[in-house]
Amino acid sequence: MDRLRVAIIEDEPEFRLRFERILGAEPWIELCGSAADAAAGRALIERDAADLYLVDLGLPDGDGRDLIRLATQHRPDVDILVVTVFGDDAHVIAAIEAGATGYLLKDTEPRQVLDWIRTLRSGGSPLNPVIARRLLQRFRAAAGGTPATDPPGQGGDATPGVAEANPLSARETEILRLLAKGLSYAEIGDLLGISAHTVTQHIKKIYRKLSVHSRGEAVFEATQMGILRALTDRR
Amino acid sequence: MSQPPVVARRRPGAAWRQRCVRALAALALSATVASTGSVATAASAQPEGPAPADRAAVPRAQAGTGPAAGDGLAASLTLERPAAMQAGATLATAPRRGLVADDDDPPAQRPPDPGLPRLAATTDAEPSAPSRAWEDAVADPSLPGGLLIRRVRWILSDSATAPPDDAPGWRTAELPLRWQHPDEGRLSAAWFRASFELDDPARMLLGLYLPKFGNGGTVWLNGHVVGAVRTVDERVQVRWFRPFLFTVHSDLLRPGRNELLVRQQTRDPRNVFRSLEIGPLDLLAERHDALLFWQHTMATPAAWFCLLVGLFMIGVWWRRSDEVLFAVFGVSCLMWSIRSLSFIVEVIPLQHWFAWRALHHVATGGFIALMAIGLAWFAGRHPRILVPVAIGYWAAGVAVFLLIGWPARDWLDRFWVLGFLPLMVYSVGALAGTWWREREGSQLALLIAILCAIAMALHDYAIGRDPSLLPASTFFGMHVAAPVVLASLGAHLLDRFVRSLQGFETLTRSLEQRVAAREHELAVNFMRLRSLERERALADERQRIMREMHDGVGSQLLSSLAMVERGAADRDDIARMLRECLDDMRLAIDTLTPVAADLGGALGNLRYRLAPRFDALGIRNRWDLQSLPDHLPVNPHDSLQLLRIVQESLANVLKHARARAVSVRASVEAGQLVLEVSDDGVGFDTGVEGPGRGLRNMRRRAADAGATLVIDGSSAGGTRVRIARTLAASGAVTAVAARAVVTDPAADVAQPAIGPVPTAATTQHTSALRAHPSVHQGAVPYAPR
Repeated sequence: MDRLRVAIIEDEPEFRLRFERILGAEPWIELCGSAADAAAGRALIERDAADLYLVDLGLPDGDGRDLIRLATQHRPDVDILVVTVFGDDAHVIAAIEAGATGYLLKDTEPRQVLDWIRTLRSGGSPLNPVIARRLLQRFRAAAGGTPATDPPGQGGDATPGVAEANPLSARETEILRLLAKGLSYAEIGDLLGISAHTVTQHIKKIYRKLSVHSRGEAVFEATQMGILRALTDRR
Repeated sequence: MSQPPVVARRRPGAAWRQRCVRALAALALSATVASTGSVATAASAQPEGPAPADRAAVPRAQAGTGPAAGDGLAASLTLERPAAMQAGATLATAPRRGLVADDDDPPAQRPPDPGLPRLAATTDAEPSAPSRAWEDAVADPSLPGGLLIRRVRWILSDSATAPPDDAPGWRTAELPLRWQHPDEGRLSAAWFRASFELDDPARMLLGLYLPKFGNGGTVWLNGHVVGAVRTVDERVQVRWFRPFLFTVHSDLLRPGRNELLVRQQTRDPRNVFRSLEIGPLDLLAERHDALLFWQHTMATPAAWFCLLVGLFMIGVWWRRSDEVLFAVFGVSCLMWSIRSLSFIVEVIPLQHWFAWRALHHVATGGFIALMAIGLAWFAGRHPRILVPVAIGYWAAGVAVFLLIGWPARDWLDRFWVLGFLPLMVYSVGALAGTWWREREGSQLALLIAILCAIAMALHDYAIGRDPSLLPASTFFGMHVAAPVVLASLGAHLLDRFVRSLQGFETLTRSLEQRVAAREHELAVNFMRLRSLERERALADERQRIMREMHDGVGSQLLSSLAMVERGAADRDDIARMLRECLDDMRLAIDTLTPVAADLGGALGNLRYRLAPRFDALGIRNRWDLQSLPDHLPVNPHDSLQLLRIVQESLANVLKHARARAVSVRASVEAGQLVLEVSDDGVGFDTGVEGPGRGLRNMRRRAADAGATLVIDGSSAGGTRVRIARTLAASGAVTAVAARAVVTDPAADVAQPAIGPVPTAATTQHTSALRAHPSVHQGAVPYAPR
């Protein structure tokens, strides 16, 4: 098996060192580069495309999301782990929309960092309950349903009404719902009769859909503006 | 029918001679004085001459002779007269003019029928002296070439033919003549006769002008009918309110004496016969047309005008019932328009005559009474007695007429109408007073119009009673005055109406402005309130975060620092302590997220973070979160407090318990959120050594969140921490309720105890926990798994 090519874009030296140490110790990982700012990160992405990036959003000279987009354009199948302090929903969802497939707390223990990377490479993706909740709300709002003020659904009745305009499949919605309740992947897998790994794969799909979804929204908005501009020009 | 003239038979030839002399003299004089005039004034030429004995028979012969007679000389005329007398029977062949019935043959031509009774209503009068017949006409100074008939001989006689000259009852009277007949309501006739002398009638069309011919009748000139206007008869009652002009060809005239004869019938006791004129047709036509226009033609639009104004006013009142003044004046207008009908409808079938007259009284009285009431109100006077008096007097007059009938009519016309005068004077006085105070132009206009109208009414009353008082007045002024009054009234009311509309618009505009101003004020206030609220929310939020920092991360860091400083912490300890700090911060972030996460999600996150640590230490951790509903009505602050307790408990398990398994269970039981952390570790003696600050913090947080906390640290089988909190229907209410529990110790009673009532045997720190009123403490036997 080829070694996994990983690059780190992180402005804080301590953490950059930490990740370099964690990743460098693994024989199956090839640390192909690390950058301390956005400019260097962009150069890194342009120079040689890694399989996986660890990206900090808050870089001193730019927004990490731009780098995420750039990397995704270069290699659509790239995996990007966003490195955050708190894993708060605002940061994480913005990153997912830009194309990230997962996030990593900065203080995550080395063993768990490697676990996440393995999960990602095998097509899965981790997701915490609060963010699952936000995603549920988000897709509901996109589907035209009432967002956060929805009355609490009982059991599995949350999906049917939302399914039609919702980009998520019923299974994905159900997984999100169970995740939001704080169930582990294994527990969700037991409940749904699938493996925990399949659950993480579903989650990754959800990430992709969110990214596409937001991109679609952007395109739609752009079109709208274009139309508007065309109309005003004609006048 | 051709009997010899009665008078001729009776008068001897001496009279003839006398008259011939007079005629010759008159003609001679007229020829010199007014040779060019077509009609000369015989009477003025010979004012003092003796009257001819017979006027009826003599001149008529000329008519029968046709046009040739007109240009004959006076001398020849006088010579022809006897022959004419003989030929009196031929007069029956004279051309008929106008609407004449069979009996319109000149009755005077016929010799009196001896068998015909001569009806004379009055017998007291002496037969008039025939000698005055020459003075019947005078030159009309305002009408060049015209004659004004100013005197008649008249007689009451129902005869179909003119009573003979010597019939008893012929009287001479100046015009205008008020004549009466005693049989009220009975159809009676009267004859009027006037003669005038001409010297040389030119061959031209002349006019016979009757400015006032109320009763109508038939007019003969020299034995020929020249005009017939329907008079009162068996079927109808008439009252003409228009002048009449008949065309007379000068062929009918002759030099010397000419005679006019009028017959009219009546039922009314009081009648008037007015003067009439003969003269150039065109000049008389002008007079006639002018008078016709004002007296008759204008009556129709005036009545319409009053009707419409009245309806308009009533319409205004209909829509705005508090504008009673409009109703009063409106009905008054209608009354006047009804009254005006009598100037338009001049011929009434007899069977309707009484009702017609009654309506006339109703309208007249109503107009005056309502006008008086309206004017007084208009002037701002509202005496309580006014309406009963005015309406009562009006109704009384009408009632008298309805009850008594025709005999009351004259009394009503004479006195009843005058009786309104004091009422009117009062109202006009009130109006004048108001005008004096307020000096409004429209009030003055109305006042002047009313005064004119009253003057006109008095004038009308006067000429109605006695035409000789004002001989020049030929028509009633009220017909002009009343619409003027109504118009000025309408103008004033319209003015008021428009002004109130404008006032309303102004009011609306100012209201709009005020509303806009108030709206702006409100918006400003609202903005101020909102910014205040935002500031307060920010302050609250800041305080909350400060407290979190202080109680959580801050104190954690401080105690870690203290441990590091005294060298009591090794590397692992420091890493653990810092990790706990991070956990605290993350928990705060999870729960304090403004929009999204509630307790369920945050609890899930707690598991998401902590589970790997238990896994790393090989501690089995079981999380039973699934029965929790998707949404829990617990506010973020309370959620944080509850989760802190859970986190603290789990941290204790990690640090102290040396447990092999830990279980976290979240559920909703009987309206209560229950969080339970239990382990199978060593447990701890909550009373003796105790973790101190940690436990105290947990209790404080439970109290803060309105939850009950039960810690069972029995050393026998691990530790169990149970948190229970009542769920309200909504988060907001819960928050309030939770705080109420904290602030009100009495609410503790209502808080259901969790599990069995604590007993002294199960816990040693009972006394310590009692300090917190909302924290139930105690222990239940630990159920080992």
